Amino acid sequence: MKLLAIETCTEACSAAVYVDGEVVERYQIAARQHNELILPMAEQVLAEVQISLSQLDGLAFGCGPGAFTGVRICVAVSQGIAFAHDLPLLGISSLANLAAQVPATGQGEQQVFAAIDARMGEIYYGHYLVARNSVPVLSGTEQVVTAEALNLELANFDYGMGSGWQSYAEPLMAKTAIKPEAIDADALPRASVTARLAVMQWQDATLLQPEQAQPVYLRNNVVHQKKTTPKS
Amino acid sequence: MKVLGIETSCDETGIAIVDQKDGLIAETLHSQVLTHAKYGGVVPELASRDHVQRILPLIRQCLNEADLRLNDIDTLAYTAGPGLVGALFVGAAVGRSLAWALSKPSVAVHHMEAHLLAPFIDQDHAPRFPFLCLLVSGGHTLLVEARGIADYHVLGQSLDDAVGEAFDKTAKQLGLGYPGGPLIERLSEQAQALGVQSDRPFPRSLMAKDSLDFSFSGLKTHTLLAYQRSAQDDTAKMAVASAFQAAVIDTLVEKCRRALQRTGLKTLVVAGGVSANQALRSRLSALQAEGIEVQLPALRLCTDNGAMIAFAGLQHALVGHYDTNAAISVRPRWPLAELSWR
Repeated sequence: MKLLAIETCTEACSAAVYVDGEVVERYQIAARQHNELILPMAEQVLAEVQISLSQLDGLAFGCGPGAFTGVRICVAVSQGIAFAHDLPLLGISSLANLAAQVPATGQGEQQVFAAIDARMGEIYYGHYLVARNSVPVLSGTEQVVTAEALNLELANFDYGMGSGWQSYAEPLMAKTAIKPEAIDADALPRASVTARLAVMQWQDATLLQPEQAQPVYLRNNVVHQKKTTPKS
Repeated sequence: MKVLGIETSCDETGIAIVDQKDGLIAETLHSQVLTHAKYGGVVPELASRDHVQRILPLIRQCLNEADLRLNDIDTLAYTAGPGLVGALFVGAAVGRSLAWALSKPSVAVHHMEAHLLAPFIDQDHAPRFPFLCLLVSGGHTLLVEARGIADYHVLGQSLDDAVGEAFDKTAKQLGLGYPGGPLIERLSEQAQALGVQSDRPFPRSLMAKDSLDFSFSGLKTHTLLAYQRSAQDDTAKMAVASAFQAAVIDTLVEKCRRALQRTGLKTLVVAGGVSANQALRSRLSALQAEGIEVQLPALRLCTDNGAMIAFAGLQHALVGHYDTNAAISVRPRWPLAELSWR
């Protein structure tokens, strides 16, 4: 199994290649430079394992949520590469990516609250059930909300992951009862995880055609955020 | 050489394939005008979202119409600017990634250069320099001396509103809707047919001096005041719209005439969305009686489209102006005068 994975939905930019159990990754925190970095990164990981695009079985990409332009670059680059080589794709949620980074512990499921700072006073979040060596399972739906308006069915979570915990640690701790030592606010989605999660699901998932690879924004009321612009 | 062009700088997703010998082979286009009409202007985020949904189906359709496979394409060309940053990134990311994955070269195209070369697509399949170009669109009003590929000298430009912008704002003031150009044009035609006209002509700005620059903001204000002082009925709208358009066209034609005299150029090329205006087209065509060759793009090439990007991309490819690394770069603000090969 050979997969290329890219993830540019947040301030981290990364590309990874999975080849028969091994993962090679390039990862850099570089806000607003994803456009310059992502193809060279993909080139480097492929060169390192001496694999060409035509030898790949597919492509995994971060589909969001995250910064709109970052998410679209991830999707558009994936569309282009996949279309050029007729590769099937699988989109991996940036929130699931965070949930999968919870430290491996013993038996049983961990309740993970993954949150990305969505700006404008809101977070993107998902409640994931994470068992060792398996794909995080989403409970309910991913949403965009203010931390104050957050209404959770569960009162006790085990882990908090993602940048949402930087800006809203206090209200989120109050609602999830997660202890400070079980919070990783610096965690960012990364392509090595995208690749691993895609490999685990590849046989059972419905794979996408290039044009079906589309962003997940969560935030859809975008009209009043910015002024309209005259046509150029 | 076959070039696939990708245009996503604003609210049109345009794809086309141009061949060095055969010219335009196929083109596909999706306009978002209905998406944005209810907001009275382009909403950048909605534009970007639409591009990323439309772009691959349009590329596939274009290849099918040309009966070509992706591998038959020699060069990928995409609009790198000027335009909306998020919208530009969609086309640039897909274009650069396709090129990278196929190991083919790509060309970053300047949107306004593509407009000014557009009239040559159907003509000779190659531009004939030098010429004077009047570029009139929603974002630009430029008089350009075009000396060669990537060699443009700006002779004059708007000091305030672009001409298309003035049309849109005036239409809004008259309660006509968006986009304003075609609506004002239709009212002017009706006014002419019915013999409706305003009491006195509207001002033509920057005409006294020996200037090649434009200004439309005073005219816009004059138009608003004239309308407010009128009965504000359908007849008044016709009269005001018609006087506004006449003032704009007089100004554009006069500046073209001056620029032609000053440079001694014998060819005038007109480009950009406003060049779809029939009254402007016929007035400029009349310059042919003064010994000027006037090149007007076909109406479908006046507004944004993929064909002009593919065509401009081909001209740059023929002189080796390719992207030199795998970075995906766009320039939302990119003055035409700075279009020099890096």
